[in-house]
Amino acid sequence: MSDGRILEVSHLSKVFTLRKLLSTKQIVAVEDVSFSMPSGEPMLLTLAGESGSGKTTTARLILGFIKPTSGEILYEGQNIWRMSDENWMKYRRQVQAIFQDPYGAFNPLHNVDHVLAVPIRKFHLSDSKEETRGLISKALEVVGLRADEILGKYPHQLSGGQRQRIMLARAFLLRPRLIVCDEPVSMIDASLRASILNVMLDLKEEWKISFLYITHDLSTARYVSDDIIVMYLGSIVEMGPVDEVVTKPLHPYVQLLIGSVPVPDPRRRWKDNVELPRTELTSQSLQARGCKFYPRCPKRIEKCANERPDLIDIGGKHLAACHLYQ
Amino acid sequence: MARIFQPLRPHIGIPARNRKFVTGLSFFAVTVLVCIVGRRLLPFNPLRVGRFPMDNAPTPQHPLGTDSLGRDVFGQLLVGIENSLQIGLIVAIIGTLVGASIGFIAGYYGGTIDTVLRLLTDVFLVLPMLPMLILIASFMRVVETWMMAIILSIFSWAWPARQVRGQALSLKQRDFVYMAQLSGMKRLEIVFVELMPHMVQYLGASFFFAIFWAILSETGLELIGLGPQNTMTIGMLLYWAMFHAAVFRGLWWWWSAPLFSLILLLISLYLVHIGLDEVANPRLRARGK
Amino acid sequence: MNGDLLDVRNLKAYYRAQSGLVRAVDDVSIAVKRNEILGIAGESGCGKSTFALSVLRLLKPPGYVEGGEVVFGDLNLLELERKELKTILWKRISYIPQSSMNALNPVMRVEQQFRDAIRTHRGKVSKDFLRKPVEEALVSVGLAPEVAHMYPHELSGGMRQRVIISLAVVLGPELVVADEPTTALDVVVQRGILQLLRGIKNRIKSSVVMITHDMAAQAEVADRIALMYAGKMVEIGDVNALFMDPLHPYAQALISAVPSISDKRKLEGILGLPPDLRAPPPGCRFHPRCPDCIVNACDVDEPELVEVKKSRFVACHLYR
Repeated sequence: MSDGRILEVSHLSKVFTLRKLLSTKQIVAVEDVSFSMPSGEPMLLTLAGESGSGKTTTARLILGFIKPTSGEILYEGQNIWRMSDENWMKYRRQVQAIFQDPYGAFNPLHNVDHVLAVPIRKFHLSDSKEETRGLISKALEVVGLRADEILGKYPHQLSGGQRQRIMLARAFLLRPRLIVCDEPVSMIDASLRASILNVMLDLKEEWKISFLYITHDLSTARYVSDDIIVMYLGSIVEMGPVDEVVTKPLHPYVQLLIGSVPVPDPRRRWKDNVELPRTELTSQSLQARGCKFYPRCPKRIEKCANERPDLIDIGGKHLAACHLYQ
Repeated sequence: MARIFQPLRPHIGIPARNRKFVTGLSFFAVTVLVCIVGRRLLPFNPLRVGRFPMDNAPTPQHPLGTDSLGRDVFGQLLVGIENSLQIGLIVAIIGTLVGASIGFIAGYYGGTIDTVLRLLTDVFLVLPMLPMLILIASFMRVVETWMMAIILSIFSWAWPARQVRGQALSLKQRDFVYMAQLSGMKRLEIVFVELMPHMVQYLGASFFFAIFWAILSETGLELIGLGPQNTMTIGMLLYWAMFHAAVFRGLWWWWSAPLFSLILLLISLYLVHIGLDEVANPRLRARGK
Repeated sequence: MNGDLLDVRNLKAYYRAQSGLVRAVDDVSIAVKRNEILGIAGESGCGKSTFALSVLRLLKPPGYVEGGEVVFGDLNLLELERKELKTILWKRISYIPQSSMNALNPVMRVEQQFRDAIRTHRGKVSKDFLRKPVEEALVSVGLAPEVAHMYPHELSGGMRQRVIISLAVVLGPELVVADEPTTALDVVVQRGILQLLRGIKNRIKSSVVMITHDMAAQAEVADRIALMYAGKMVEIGDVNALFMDPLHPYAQALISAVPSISDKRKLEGILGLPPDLRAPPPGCRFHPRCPDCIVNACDVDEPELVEVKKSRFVACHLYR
């Protein structure tokens, strides 16, 4: 029934309609995105892109917070929008999330116990108060926190790093199969980031939980991922094993992106200067035909203005959507 | 119901630390107490006409003097404040409850419901209250207290509705609402357990502002003669004073007493409002205090 | 320290909070040389932003400068009259604030913002007189001259940032202080901005003080790095030296906690949390988290910043 995939995203699209008084504006946030995450071995898949790439919208679609305009999201073979109530609850439990703002994820009126106790209660994970306490302590331990230092406190009394870990503990409590992380470390200090990323890797290796990691930070993406998908203006432009994509990027956008990531090594500075746009590109995102990267692409050919390139396998499960390779 | 207030219990200490809130609330509480108790303790009925000598300046027996109808001004003031507060409270309760409900539904559910309710709210915000009231008053000879309350209520719900709608809009986007969904909570449950406790904080500030507004508006209407003629309120006391040309005749105690009491009452209500607003809104809190 | 452009000595800046006195910058000394890019690095709460604001006397209550000197040429910036300070700010020292995308006046066109800045320093100038310098300033940051007629909301974040940079250098200052110049910008734009800052040093020979927690950005741009922790300066050195051979345990831990896109070595976070600046730990402020902490020394005496090798300063008992 599930043919070996936890998650399958198939031709997913989302268009937002902004209705103003005299005009209607359509924003294509996600366009024809397809990818899958196999069951069996746990994997960490990164969805990378800059602002406007559609990665966050994709995450919210997968989590079922917004409805797709077209396309399907299949969890263990079933379309999440056509599931029975029972299966939907199962989905809710097995697919969890961590968000970017470690403060906003907590209701400031409740202490942090609340956020850990509610899922236990709602999913009937425990029959007694002792059992609940035990589950919570264990979950906190797994993420490297001590229950006696954390319980009873309010969110503002804890650091960003601690709060994110509590969120990971909360997700772990439910023994999910997949955790979707939306920029989990971008609001956290450098010295604490590594610990959170290591916890994620631990959860993957030891507890066999897969991760979908959404970020714009390619350095952390390289550190934690197995595979990576790079999005640009709503579409996938390249995907493949992370080491491949990072060391041998195919798509000109990805080449530009990887080349622009600062490296914390003063011996390896940028050799040449990048040229930024001189003025606002007016009709940027509404390219009706042709490749979306055409206006900025240094390697474009005539075909690129008229035909949108398909995502094809260049070799070794490394795919790119670019006419240079067709 | 209790579940809404439960998460707030540990935080009750916070408003107590805000100077404005405490000052305003103390003054307000003292005023209310003095009026309620004081009025019961008066050995006479302050509204009976002709009981005392007329137009007397303040003396130890009549600390605020007497008016042109032979009534003790201090006694009238006690009655007046209590009645004004009554009207103010009724209007504030109706206005806040109705307004908050409409505002919350509009903000939380969005879509067409929101558009319709928002239009309704805007219309009521923009309606000119005074001409409407003059219109109503010209159809009725006498205005009773309850009529005042109803008329004011019609106008008082719009502002809380707007405020609460804004709150609901911003709250529903917050990550912790998504988290609650991921934890298996159903929509209604989220409203009561996660959102309502927040709203209560804002409603507190809104409520006191409503009382403030109600008393101010009520007094304004009474001053121009549209008030309940048979009831004594602060505004009516001022009205009668002007009706009898107290200013020109030098009966300063008759108009200054209600005027200053009104000002102090309004200031204390406003302080409570700002204080609660600061507590609910941390950004303001960083500035103030 | 002759030949230094700016010499900060024993700067102390505190915040009066409800709950106590926050010692945000506690006795920090550093000199900015001519024609260099000095990177002030450190994580949130280390005091680097407060440091910048204090030096330029832009610190607002409840923050205040408790003591120290900021020597610029033959002037002490902390003791200047407001009027004199105004002549220096923007003309000789300029500042790119942290939330700089909101630093532009939304109701004025770009050229008007230039006019204001220039007028303060050169007196009334006519529109025509301005046109050429404004266009040159915009072109120098890679923007088209037409941008002069646009409003801030018509520009993207990266372009606004470039406008601000061009505003900051239009009067040819000797020193530019940039506070987190690349927050909230996309990777490619960030690279452009960082390269612009490098260009400021190379083209107009000013010095740049770049304040950011992003160590990778520091590595790309800075000549020297000054690392702060919990209100103190813990290490100062040439950028190569700091990254290849960090001396202070905090510097070592920080460098090994920063992920790199070019390798996959295992990252180690630092255990524990930064201290509460209202009641910092006795002795060295890093000692509770330090793997090399020497008992009865590090927890008792505060280490001083000393020069242990040529131009390398460390505040650590391991190097006495």
